[in-house]
Amino acid sequence: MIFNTALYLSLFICVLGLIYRIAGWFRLSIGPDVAGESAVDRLWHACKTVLRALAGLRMLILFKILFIDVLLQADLFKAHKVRWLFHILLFYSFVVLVFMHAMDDMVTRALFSDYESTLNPYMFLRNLFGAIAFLGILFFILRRIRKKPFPKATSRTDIAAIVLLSVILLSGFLLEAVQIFSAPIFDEMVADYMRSDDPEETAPLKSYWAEEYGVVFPEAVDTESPELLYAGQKLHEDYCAVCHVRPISAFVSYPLSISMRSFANALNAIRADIWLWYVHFIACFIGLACLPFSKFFHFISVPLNLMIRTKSPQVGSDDWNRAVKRSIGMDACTHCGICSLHCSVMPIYRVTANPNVLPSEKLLSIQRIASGRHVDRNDYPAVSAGSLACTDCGRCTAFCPSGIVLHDLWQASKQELACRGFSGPDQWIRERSAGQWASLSEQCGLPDIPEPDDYLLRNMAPEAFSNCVQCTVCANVCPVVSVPDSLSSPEVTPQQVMNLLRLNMRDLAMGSRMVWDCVTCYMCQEHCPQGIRVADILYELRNMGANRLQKVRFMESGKPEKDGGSDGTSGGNAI
Amino acid sequence: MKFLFFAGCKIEKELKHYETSSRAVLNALGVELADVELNCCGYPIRHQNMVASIFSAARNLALASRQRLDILTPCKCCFGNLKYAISRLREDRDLREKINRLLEKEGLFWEEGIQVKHLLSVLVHDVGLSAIREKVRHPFRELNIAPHYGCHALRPSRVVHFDNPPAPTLFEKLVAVTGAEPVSWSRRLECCGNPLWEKNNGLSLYMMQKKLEDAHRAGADFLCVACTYCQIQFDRIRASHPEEGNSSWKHKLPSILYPQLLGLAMGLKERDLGLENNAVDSRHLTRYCCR
Repeated sequence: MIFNTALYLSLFICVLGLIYRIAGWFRLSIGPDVAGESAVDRLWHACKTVLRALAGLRMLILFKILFIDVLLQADLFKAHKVRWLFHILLFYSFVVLVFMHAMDDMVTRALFSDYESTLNPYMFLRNLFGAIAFLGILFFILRRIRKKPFPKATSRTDIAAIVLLSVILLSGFLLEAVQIFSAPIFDEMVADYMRSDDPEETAPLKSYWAEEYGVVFPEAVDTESPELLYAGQKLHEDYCAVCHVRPISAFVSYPLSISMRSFANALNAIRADIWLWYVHFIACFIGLACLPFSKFFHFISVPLNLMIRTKSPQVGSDDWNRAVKRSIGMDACTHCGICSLHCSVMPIYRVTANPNVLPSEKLLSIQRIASGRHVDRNDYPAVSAGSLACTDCGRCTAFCPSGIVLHDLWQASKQELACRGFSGPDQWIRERSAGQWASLSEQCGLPDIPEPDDYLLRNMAPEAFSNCVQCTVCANVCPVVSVPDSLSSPEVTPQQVMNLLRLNMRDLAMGSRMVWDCVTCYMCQEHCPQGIRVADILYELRNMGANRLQKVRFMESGKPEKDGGSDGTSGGNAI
Repeated sequence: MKFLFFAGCKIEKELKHYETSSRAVLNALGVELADVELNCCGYPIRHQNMVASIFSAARNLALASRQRLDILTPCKCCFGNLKYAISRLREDRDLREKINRLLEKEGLFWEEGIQVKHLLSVLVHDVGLSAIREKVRHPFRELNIAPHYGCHALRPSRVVHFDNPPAPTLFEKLVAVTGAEPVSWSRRLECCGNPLWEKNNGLSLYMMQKKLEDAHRAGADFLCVACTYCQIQFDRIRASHPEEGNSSWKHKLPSILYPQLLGLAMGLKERDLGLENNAVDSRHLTRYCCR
């Protein structure tokens, strides 16, 4: 009763959840290029594509993908051989256990007419696959404990998945161990199959099962008498042997059972076998019910993503399904972190501690933004800074074992962030003049840019620019100063920037167009007769600006940052 | 002669043929290349965070010193930033200590020793013009080439030591060795405009346009570059974003990569040189070869 209720309830939740997740692929979107499309449009295009694929030659390609990429997991093999091995072990042992053990009445019995869970090879194989799966889980736990390239590498969903799988496996082994020594089960079976409750009649069988099968009875059982054992063996052969082999083939559960023998009577008395059975199947059903909302969803999203991914370097703007592809791609992330291990800009994370620099972490943020769930405005500056740090090298896409076209997601999310007002300092600076920026930061109560205490800003120390004689050589060689006003109108020239710095008007210098339209050609620095590192100073003013503009813009939008952001690692100050 | 090859971030996705052509040319000239997974040189992040930029560069240098190999890069911005990082690490003890503390967590360490070289400087100084000349089998004839130097290789000269900053000759010599005629043009040392791309696109395209016009006026048939970013600007970006009212420049004066020029003269496999992968059609370069 409880079993069936739990089964149907969890199936119901699972199906509802799947519908919700799949609807999300058509409903949610990231990137302004797909913002106008309706869910119906997307569904329509997706259906057309699927039908076309099923009808045409693409079917053959899909079979190839299914075999090589999904079943053999070729991408993971390319990315990481050891992980591939353990992932394959865990995956296939679980698949076997689900079909051959959990669904044995439907599958195994249909395939093998002599199937009994307590016969060999089934008993042995169940232990074998359980042990292999356990080995796989152990590897994933160890890897997550030992190798931590970045702090958030293990998320709550990872832990939940590992805990649930461990509970299912452990309760399974414990259940079998307890069943082995269970006297109550023995009594039930005797009552059902031998149809006898006469203690005289069953005594030989008890003796035999206590000796050979490890059952622990509450009363003392004579296992020494050869006659009794012989009689027991006869009874066993008549009634039990058809369905039971010695538990020694349960090479995990049997030793476990032996190690627990001293508590066997107590466990039998409280019917631990029933309790463990509840734990075992309820954990399985929780897994089933949570499938759409947990890490297990990747059983569905990853194969699907591998089949629909576009391998060309650019996802075509004519691809009508790109919004759906992006959504499925985001759902296909298992947070394995391989992308972040190979990320070209990983060192930036090591300096700024902004996790959004790392692709695996940035994806989590973007998922949150796309879904519209609990998005904190405070998160945007860090996500934006992380997105801007990406050099679009494409390594994350190349290494992703789930086949997510990550670089397309980054492009879309960068544009999405820009639409929401988080484009980056190079764009913001154009919104106002230097004077406006300077007075705005004063209004926002930001202190004057502090004296450069960091060796970083060595070039900003007064002695670095105080030698400027305002000869204008820098302005004459600068290719930007001479361009038409429509393209850039530097209110000040490089030597005037130096002058502003001498007057300690750093905010004004920082906000000037000269600083942000600098092409970094180093002509000014090369030609300066006073040896002033003009271009280096402009670089450092931009460094300051990247920090300061984010703060000013954020404070101006009315909502203060969560924290002061002055320690160089918090959100607003991330880069 | 063996170097650690530093491809840089952009080459894999945007300009794969720059890598294949560089490798083909170097291989034919007996330069061996080793490959290790390296990270970004730190050039793009330098605008926002100097420490992150220098740490990125230092990590690459430390990885190279673990291999005991000098770095060879085909990108002038990578070259410039790696050199710049060395100069900052050299002059600033506090910074050096901070960077080494960060590197230590990965068992790495930066110290003086690893050299960073650009493809062109390896060709001139390590391989030598005479060795290259010997390998040129199909010299070009009546081909005018405008060599574009690229800012970050030339300046700041006290940091990069690439060539004489106001009057460099290295690139012209390398063009001449293929039989082509290097044209003299006034804007050859100026910026291609790419550093402002996606920051101020109008200005970025304007600067490129001025250079193209100048090289064209000087009688060049092709522009020749040896930098990933410069080629992205003169080729990829020009083809997809011609300056308004100036779409004729979509086809005029194509930009080629130096290893494409040299490789063709050396008679290397055209598949490796990837002329057909240039966005601005430059396949007619083969017609200038004397066979």
